[in-house]
Amino acid sequence: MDRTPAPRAAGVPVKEIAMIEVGQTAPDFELPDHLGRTLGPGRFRGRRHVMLLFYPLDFTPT
Amino acid sequence: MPAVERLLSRFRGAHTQVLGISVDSIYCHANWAASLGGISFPLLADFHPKGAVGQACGIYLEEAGIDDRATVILDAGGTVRHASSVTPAGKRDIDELAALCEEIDRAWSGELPEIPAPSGLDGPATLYVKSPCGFSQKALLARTNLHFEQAVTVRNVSEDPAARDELVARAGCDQAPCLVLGDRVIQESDEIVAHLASRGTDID
Repeated sequence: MDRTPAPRAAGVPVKEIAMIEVGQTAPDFELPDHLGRTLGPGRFRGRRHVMLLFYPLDFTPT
Repeated sequence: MPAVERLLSRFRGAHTQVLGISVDSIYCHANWAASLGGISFPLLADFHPKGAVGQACGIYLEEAGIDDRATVILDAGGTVRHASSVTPAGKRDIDELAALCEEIDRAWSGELPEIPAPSGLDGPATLYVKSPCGFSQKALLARTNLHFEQAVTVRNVSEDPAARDELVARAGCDQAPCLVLGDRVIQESDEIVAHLASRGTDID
Protein backbone atom coordinates (compact mmCIF):
# COMPACT_ATOMS: atom_id res chain seq x y z
CA MET A 1 0.00 0.00 0.00
CA ASP A 2 1.33 3.44 -0.90
CA ARG A 3 2.07 5.64 2.04
CA THR A 4 1.71 9.34 1.36
CA PRO A 5 4.66 11.29 2.76
CA ALA A 6 3.69 13.37 5.76
CA PRO A 7 3.21 17.08 5.12
CA ARG A 8 5.78 18.58 7.44
CA ALA A 9 8.01 21.52 8.12
CA ALA A 10 11.37 21.43 6.36
CA GLY A 11 14.01 19.27 8.00
CA VAL A 12 11.64 17.27 10.19
CA PRO A 13 12.07 13.55 9.63
CA VAL A 14 9.07 11.28 9.22
CA LYS A 15 9.15 8.48 11.72
CA GLU A 16 7.96 5.11 10.51
CA ILE A 17 5.70 3.38 12.99
CA ALA A 18 3.19 0.60 12.63
CA MET A 19 0.29 2.95 12.31
CA ILE A 20 -2.99 2.47 10.57
CA GLU A 21 -2.57 2.27 6.81
CA VAL A 22 -4.18 3.72 3.73
CA GLY A 23 -6.96 1.46 2.51
CA GLN A 24 -7.84 0.10 5.95
CA THR A 25 -11.18 0.73 7.58
CA ALA A 26 -10.76 3.07 10.53
CA PRO A 27 -11.71 1.78 13.97
CA ASP A 28 -14.87 3.44 15.15
CA PHE A 29 -14.85 5.19 18.49
CA GLU A 30 -16.52 7.92 20.45
CA LEU A 31 -14.81 10.24 22.91
CA PRO A 32 -15.89 13.28 24.94
CA ASP A 33 -14.85 16.69 23.58
CA HIS A 34 -14.06 20.04 25.19
CA LEU A 35 -17.52 21.40 24.37
CA GLY A 36 -19.51 18.76 26.22
CA ARG A 37 -20.25 16.47 23.29
CA THR A 38 -19.46 12.82 22.67
CA LEU A 39 -18.18 12.36 19.15
CA GLY A 40 -16.36 10.05 16.81
CA PRO A 41 -15.83 9.52 13.08
CA GLY A 42 -18.91 7.26 12.84
CA ARG A 43 -21.15 10.23 13.49
CA PHE A 44 -20.08 11.70 10.14
CA ARG A 45 -20.12 8.49 8.10
CA GLY A 46 -21.67 9.00 4.68
CA ARG A 47 -21.79 12.78 5.19
CA ARG A 48 -18.27 14.07 5.80
CA HIS A 49 -14.67 13.01 5.47
CA VAL A 50 -12.86 13.12 8.81
CA MET A 51 -9.34 14.36 9.56
CA LEU A 52 -8.00 13.06 12.89
CA LEU A 53 -5.24 15.26 14.28
CA PHE A 54 -3.51 13.30 17.02
CA TYR A 55 -1.08 15.33 19.14
CA PRO A 56 1.04 14.69 22.24
CA LEU A 57 -0.20 17.09 24.90
CA ASP A 58 -2.09 20.31 25.53
CA PHE A 59 -0.04 23.34 26.63
CA THR A 60 3.07 22.20 24.78
CA PRO A 61 4.74 23.86 21.78
CA THR A 62 4.27 23.07 18.05
CA MET B 1 -4.38 24.13 16.35
CA PRO B 2 -4.99 27.86 15.74
CA ALA B 3 -3.72 27.30 12.17
CA VAL B 4 -6.41 24.65 11.72
CA GLU B 5 -9.05 26.91 13.27
CA ARG B 6 -8.18 29.63 10.76
CA LEU B 7 -8.70 27.20 7.87
CA LEU B 8 -11.96 25.65 9.12
CA SER B 9 -14.04 27.16 6.31
CA ARG B 10 -11.66 25.55 3.81
CA PHE B 11 -12.03 22.13 5.46
CA ARG B 12 -15.79 22.71 5.52
CA GLY B 13 -15.68 23.37 1.78
CA ALA B 14 -13.90 20.03 1.35
CA HIS B 15 -16.70 18.26 3.30
CA THR B 16 -14.18 17.47 6.01
CA GLN B 17 -14.73 17.35 9.76
CA VAL B 18 -11.59 18.04 11.78
CA LEU B 19 -11.17 16.25 15.13
CA GLY B 20 -8.19 16.90 17.44
CA ILE B 21 -7.21 14.10 19.84
CA SER B 22 -4.76 13.83 22.74
CA VAL B 23 -4.62 12.00 26.08
CA ASP B 24 -5.52 15.17 28.01
CA SER B 25 -8.87 15.54 29.75
CA ILE B 26 -11.71 17.66 28.36
CA TYR B 27 -11.07 20.22 31.13
CA CYS B 28 -7.46 20.58 30.12
CA HIS B 29 -8.54 20.80 26.45
CA ALA B 30 -11.06 23.57 27.17
CA ASN B 31 -8.52 25.68 29.07
CA TRP B 32 -5.76 25.16 26.53
CA ALA B 33 -8.08 25.87 23.61
CA ALA B 34 -9.22 29.14 25.20
CA SER B 35 -5.59 30.10 25.89
CA LEU B 36 -4.98 29.80 22.15
CA GLY B 37 -7.73 32.29 21.40
CA GLY B 38 -10.51 29.74 20.97
CA ILE B 39 -10.75 26.36 19.25
CA SER B 40 -14.25 25.49 18.03
CA PHE B 41 -13.66 22.14 16.33
CA PRO B 42 -13.86 19.13 18.69
CA LEU B 43 -10.83 18.34 20.83
CA LEU B 44 -11.39 14.74 21.90
CA ALA B 45 -10.03 13.31 25.15
CA ASP B 46 -8.26 9.96 24.62
CA PHE B 47 -8.06 10.05 28.41
CA HIS B 48 -9.75 7.01 29.90
CA PRO B 49 -8.68 4.35 29.24
CA LYS B 50 -5.61 6.40 28.41
CA GLY B 51 -4.58 6.37 24.76
CA ALA B 52 -7.07 3.64 23.76
CA VAL B 53 -7.93 5.28 20.44
CA GLY B 54 -4.27 6.07 19.77
CA GLN B 55 -3.48 2.41 20.36
CA ALA B 56 -6.27 1.29 18.04
CA CYS B 57 -4.75 3.48 15.32
CA GLY B 58 -1.18 2.36 16.09
CA ILE B 59 0.04 5.82 16.99
CA TYR B 60 0.20 5.59 20.81
CA LEU B 61 3.76 5.98 22.09
CA GLU B 62 3.84 3.54 24.98
CA GLU B 63 7.04 4.71 26.69
CA ALA B 64 6.16 8.39 26.60
CA GLY B 65 2.49 7.75 27.44
CA ILE B 66 1.23 10.06 24.70
CA ASP B 67 -0.32 9.93 21.26
CA ASP B 68 2.12 10.69 18.44
CA ARG B 69 1.68 13.83 16.33
CA ALA B 70 -0.04 11.86 13.61
CA THR B 71 -2.66 12.64 11.02
CA VAL B 72 -5.25 10.16 9.76
CA ILE B 73 -7.74 11.17 7.08
CA LEU B 74 -10.80 8.99 6.52
CA ASP B 75 -13.11 9.39 3.58
CA ALA B 76 -16.85 9.61 4.13
CA GLY B 77 -17.04 5.83 3.82
CA GLY B 78 -14.66 5.35 6.75
CA THR B 79 -11.68 4.17 4.70
CA VAL B 80 -8.25 5.56 5.58
CA ARG B 81 -6.98 7.77 2.72
CA HIS B 82 -3.96 9.27 4.45
CA ALA B 83 -1.88 8.35 7.48
CA SER B 84 1.31 10.13 8.53
CA SER B 85 3.39 11.15 11.50
CA VAL B 86 5.67 14.15 11.95
CA THR B 87 6.89 12.79 15.34
CA PRO B 88 5.93 14.53 18.60
CA ALA B 89 8.45 17.33 18.07
CA GLY B 90 7.52 17.88 14.44
CA LYS B 91 5.22 20.40 12.86
CA ARG B 92 2.32 19.66 10.54
CA ASP B 93 1.81 21.70 7.40
CA ILE B 94 -1.87 22.58 7.69
CA ASP B 95 -2.06 24.11 4.20
CA GLU B 96 -0.83 20.87 2.70
CA LEU B 97 -3.29 18.88 4.77
CA ALA B 98 -6.12 21.13 3.58
CA ALA B 99 -5.02 20.55 -0.02
CA LEU B 100 -4.94 16.82 0.67
CA CYS B 101 -8.49 16.89 2.04
CA GLU B 102 -9.61 18.78 -1.08
CA GLU B 103 -7.97 16.11 -3.22
CA ILE B 104 -9.68 13.31 -1.28
CA ASP B 105 -12.96 15.18 -1.61
CA ARG B 106 -12.55 15.52 -5.39
CA ALA B 107 -11.80 11.79 -5.64
CA TRP B 108 -14.91 10.87 -3.65
CA SER B 109 -17.50 9.47 -6.04
CA GLY B 110 -20.68 10.08 -4.04
CA GLU B 111 -22.59 13.25 -3.25
CA LEU B 112 -22.02 14.78 0.18
CA PRO B 113 -24.25 17.38 1.81
CA GLU B 114 -22.74 20.83 2.20
CA ILE B 115 -21.47 21.56 5.69
CA PRO B 116 -23.34 24.65 6.84
CA ALA B 117 -21.48 27.53 8.46
CA PRO B 118 -22.27 27.96 12.18
CA SER B 119 -25.60 29.76 12.56
CA GLY B 120 -24.54 32.07 15.37
CA LEU B 121 -26.79 33.27 18.21
CA ASP B 122 -30.26 34.70 17.53
CA GLY B 123 -29.37 38.02 19.12
CA PRO B 124 -27.22 39.64 21.75
CA ALA B 125 -26.91 37.60 24.94
CA THR B 126 -25.67 38.11 28.47
CA LEU B 127 -23.78 35.53 30.48
CA TYR B 128 -24.08 36.10 34.23
CA VAL B 129 -21.26 34.46 36.17
CA LYS B 130 -19.97 34.37 39.70
CA SER B 131 -16.46 33.88 41.03
CA PRO B 132 -14.86 31.68 42.03
CA CYS B 133 -17.10 29.14 40.31
CA GLY B 134 -16.08 26.17 38.18
CA PHE B 135 -19.44 26.08 36.44
CA SER B 136 -19.14 29.74 35.48
CA GLN B 137 -15.62 29.07 34.27
CA LYS B 138 -16.90 26.27 32.04
CA ALA B 139 -19.43 28.60 30.42
CA LEU B 140 -16.79 31.32 29.99
CA LEU B 141 -14.37 28.91 28.30
CA ALA B 142 -17.09 27.81 25.87
CA ARG B 143 -17.81 31.47 25.07
CA THR B 144 -14.14 31.97 24.18
CA ASN B 145 -13.73 28.69 22.29
CA LEU B 146 -16.81 29.38 20.17
CA HIS B 147 -15.76 32.98 19.46
CA PHE B 148 -18.77 34.56 21.14
CA GLU B 149 -16.83 37.29 22.97
CA GLN B 150 -18.64 39.99 20.99
CA ALA B 151 -22.08 38.34 20.94
CA VAL B 152 -22.18 37.40 24.63
CA THR B 153 -21.65 40.10 27.25
CA VAL B 154 -20.30 38.89 30.60
CA ARG B 155 -21.52 40.26 33.94
CA ASN B 156 -20.12 39.06 37.26
CA VAL B 157 -22.86 38.91 39.90
CA SER B 158 -20.50 38.30 42.82
CA GLU B 159 -18.50 41.44 42.09
CA ASP B 160 -21.21 43.75 40.80
CA PRO B 161 -24.45 44.22 42.82
CA ALA B 162 -26.13 45.93 39.84
CA ALA B 163 -25.42 42.83 37.72
CA ARG B 164 -26.96 40.63 40.41
CA ASP B 165 -30.10 42.81 40.55
CA GLU B 166 -30.33 42.68 36.76
CA LEU B 167 -30.02 38.86 36.80
CA VAL B 168 -32.76 38.50 39.44
CA ALA B 169 -35.02 40.78 37.42
CA ARG B 170 -34.46 38.82 34.21
CA ALA B 171 -34.21 35.23 35.50
CA GLY B 172 -36.25 35.34 38.72
CA CYS B 173 -33.33 34.26 40.91
CA ASP B 174 -29.59 34.88 41.24
CA GLN B 175 -28.38 31.43 40.16
CA ALA B 176 -25.22 31.73 38.06
CA PRO B 177 -23.95 30.90 35.55
CA CYS B 178 -27.00 31.97 33.64
CA LEU B 179 -27.26 32.80 29.95
CA VAL B 180 -30.03 35.18 28.99
CA LEU B 181 -30.97 35.55 25.33
CA GLY B 182 -33.94 37.88 24.95
CA ASP B 183 -36.72 36.14 26.90
CA ARG B 184 -34.88 32.85 27.09
CA VAL B 185 -33.07 31.89 30.31
CA ILE B 186 -30.58 28.99 30.40
CA GLN B 187 -29.30 28.15 33.88
CA GLU B 188 -27.21 24.98 33.95
CA SER B 189 -23.61 25.24 32.73
CA ASP B 190 -23.91 22.07 30.59
CA GLU B 191 -27.00 23.47 28.91
CA ILE B 192 -25.34 26.85 28.38
CA VAL B 193 -22.34 25.15 26.76
CA ALA B 194 -24.61 22.92 24.66
CA HIS B 195 -26.57 25.92 23.38
CA LEU B 196 -23.43 27.90 22.55
CA ALA B 197 -21.88 24.82 20.85
CA SER B 198 -24.99 24.22 18.74
CA ARG B 199 -24.80 27.80 17.44
CA GLY B 200 -21.05 28.20 17.23
CA THR B 201 -20.07 25.02 15.39
CA ASP B 202 -21.19 23.24 12.23
CA ILE B 203 -22.00 19.93 13.95
CA ASP B 204 -25.70 19.09 14.09
